[in-house]
Amino acid sequence: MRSREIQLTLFYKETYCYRGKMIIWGVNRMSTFIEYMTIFINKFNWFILYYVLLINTIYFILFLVSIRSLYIDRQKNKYWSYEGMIASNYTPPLSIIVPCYNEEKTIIDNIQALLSLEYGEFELVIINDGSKDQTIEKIIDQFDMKKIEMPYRKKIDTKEIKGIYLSSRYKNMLVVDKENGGKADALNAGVNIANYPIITAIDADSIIERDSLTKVIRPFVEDPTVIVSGGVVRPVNDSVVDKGFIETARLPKKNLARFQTVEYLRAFLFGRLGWGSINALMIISGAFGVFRKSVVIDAGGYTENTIGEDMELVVKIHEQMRRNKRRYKIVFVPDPVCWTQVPEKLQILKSQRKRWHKGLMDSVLNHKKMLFNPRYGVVGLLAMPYYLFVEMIGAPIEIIGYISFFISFWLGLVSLEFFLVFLSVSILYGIFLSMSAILLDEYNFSKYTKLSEYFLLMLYSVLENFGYRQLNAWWRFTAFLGYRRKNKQWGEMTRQEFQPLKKNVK
Amino acid sequence: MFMRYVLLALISIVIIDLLIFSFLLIKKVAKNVVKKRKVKIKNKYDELFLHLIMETDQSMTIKPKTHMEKKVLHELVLHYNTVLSGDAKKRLLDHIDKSFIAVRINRYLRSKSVWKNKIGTFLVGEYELNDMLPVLLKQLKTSDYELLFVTARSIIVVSNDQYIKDILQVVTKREKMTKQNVLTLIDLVEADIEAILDEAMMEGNGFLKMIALEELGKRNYIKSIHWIKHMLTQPEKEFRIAALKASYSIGDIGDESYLQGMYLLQTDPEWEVRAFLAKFLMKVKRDSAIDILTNLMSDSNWYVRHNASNALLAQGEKGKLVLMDLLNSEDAFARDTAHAVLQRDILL
Repeated sequence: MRSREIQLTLFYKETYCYRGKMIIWGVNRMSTFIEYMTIFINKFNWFILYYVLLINTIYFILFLVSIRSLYIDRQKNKYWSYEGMIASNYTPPLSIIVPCYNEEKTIIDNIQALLSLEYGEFELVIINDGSKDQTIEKIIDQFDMKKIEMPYRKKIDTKEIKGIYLSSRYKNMLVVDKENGGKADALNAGVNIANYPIITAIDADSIIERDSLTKVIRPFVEDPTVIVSGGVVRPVNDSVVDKGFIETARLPKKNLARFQTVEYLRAFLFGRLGWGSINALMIISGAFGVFRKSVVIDAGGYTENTIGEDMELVVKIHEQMRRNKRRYKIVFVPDPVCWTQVPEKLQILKSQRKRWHKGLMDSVLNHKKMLFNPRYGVVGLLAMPYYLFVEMIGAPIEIIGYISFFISFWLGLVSLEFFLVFLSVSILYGIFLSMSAILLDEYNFSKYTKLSEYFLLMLYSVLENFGYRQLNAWWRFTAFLGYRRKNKQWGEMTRQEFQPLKKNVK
Repeated sequence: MFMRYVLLALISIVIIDLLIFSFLLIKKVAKNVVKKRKVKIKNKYDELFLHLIMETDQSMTIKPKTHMEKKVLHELVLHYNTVLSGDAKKRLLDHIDKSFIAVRINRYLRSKSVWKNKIGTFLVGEYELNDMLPVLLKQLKTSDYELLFVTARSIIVVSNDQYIKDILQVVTKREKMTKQNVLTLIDLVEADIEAILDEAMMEGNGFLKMIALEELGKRNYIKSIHWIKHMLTQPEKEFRIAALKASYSIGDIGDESYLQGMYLLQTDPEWEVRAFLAKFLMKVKRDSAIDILTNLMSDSNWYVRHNASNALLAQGEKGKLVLMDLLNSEDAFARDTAHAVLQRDILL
């Protein structure tokens, strides 16, 4: 009994001692963890600071370059006769490819508008990519289309073509009905069928201004080394549209669309114009881009197993031209405008933004060999790193930055005062860039006539920093985390009929 | 210290943002006010322009007084220039007091800014200011291709064919301009330039010869026949293509020896030449042309077969009979093409 007591006492002593050691060990480990975390967070905070400084410097440089480009464009318009270009026999003929999928609500208006574009010689190639609605039936009925067995050169592989239809009313219009294969596949079918050496891909839900084609073709006429050219895309929501053309441009009424209007202005007037002027433009919007057909074919056409086929094609063209040491230019023209419907529902916008981000990641990762590769010149040394570090991982860094702040605040690493000042500078700088874009737009193009519209635009350029920007970053962050290769599909986008002309419009 | 800099940056950006905000709104208000005033002036000038174009009042001269009037008049002149031509345009320009713009153009032409030079040069053409031609002629020596194009354009608009020889020499030297742009310039010349083009064919460089030959054909000049025959036998495919393009503009002139030269090209090693031959034969309504087109339907190149099928269709009933025969051809492509072309003919 005695020995049992002794044994128990010894056991408890050892156990307590062990527990005590464990607690001390635990406390030590915890303080070491906090120590390491503090060091890490501190370093990360400095990284964020430098990162923000770096990207804002890049934006500022792009801003300056864009101002120069807009000035040049403004001057060029003063001595370039567009009417002369339209009338000239030597303006290159053009094939307009319009891929469509479930576009029954807007397709007729759009085709009619495209048929009455101000351009010398062009053909319209409509590709119905296995729509499940009445798209093809409506086109056949409206334009008196007849099926024809037309041989064509299959330079790029596509899904099976079910039929080619010719219009008995318009000699320059044909419709291709094919199995569903995605937007890239539809565009490739259009490239195969197109007759002319220059092609343009226009989204079926978009509206281009009457003289936009002439303006976007101008670089091809001026300079034979131009192989791709793109124009500006703007939100059309709530603008007055008559017979497929913009009658009165109006600022969208919905908040979400207004935020996107500010975003589009900033993206096109800064980003694309800036990169375009140093021949490092990586995206020509799928809604409105003009390409030399032979270059598209040489690059293998639009890539099917990617979501951002528009960016992917441009990057492929850069890659090929630089690899083969050929002289070329990919340009952006700020004047020609293509109006497109933007999402007005949060869920659709979220899906669109996630798709865009995954498309961007596809292109950057598919061509990672171009990164920092001097062989690819300004594209490899500047544009690709920008798309990787700013566009691709910018959103994750922003989200982690927010989390890092809360931890820093909890650990007492930064004061609330510092954080607020830092955040304010960052937001005010963002507002400066957006307002500058709006100012440049008003100065050069002045698409909206009312003072109230510009007032609202500026107001939304402020408001977007409180919620919308963070939401966007969050979507892109989740897209970044959920990124899987080879996931492709046409984007979900609820089409709306365009707002018809109202008699009381002044 | 660091915080002080950050705060300074913060205050600076706030001020800049507020400035942009105010400037934009003020600018928009001003723009809308100016727009309204411009509409009033524009309506007044529109009426005057109509009188001038319709020749109802020949005594009047439009003389703008205020800065705004000058601006509106300038915009209207540029607009009317795009829709008017010939006598109507001349009448309009003759009755405008151009002194208001001449001063500005002079300043632009003397400016060190190449953009202003280009704008000034363009306006010389738009206002047809003859007295500024010497400046433009000097400007032909420029190394800026765009300025060269604008200069050449304005010289032609003002002086028609007077300096076209010099212009052709300059723009084709070291291929400074694309062929399309040179042809666009020549298109502006309304006068007879057969002698100039003929001289270019004799003395010009290869690039100029190609352009001159195409233009000779396009203008249906008789001398083009001689040069087409000559160029068809040249080793450079570009010359043979230029000859075929010229002959496409001229069509069938009934000269058998001329056609025989063309027919020889059906075995040309360059597919582009055969494709242009097929296109040319569209205009030759003869059995011999149909025979060649039938052969070209089995060509190894897609474009040649494509052009040949369309050319056969253009031949009328005989061509269609050939296409119908080809429906039973062993050559799958010839069969499909014939089918498509005939089907298209029925539909359209």
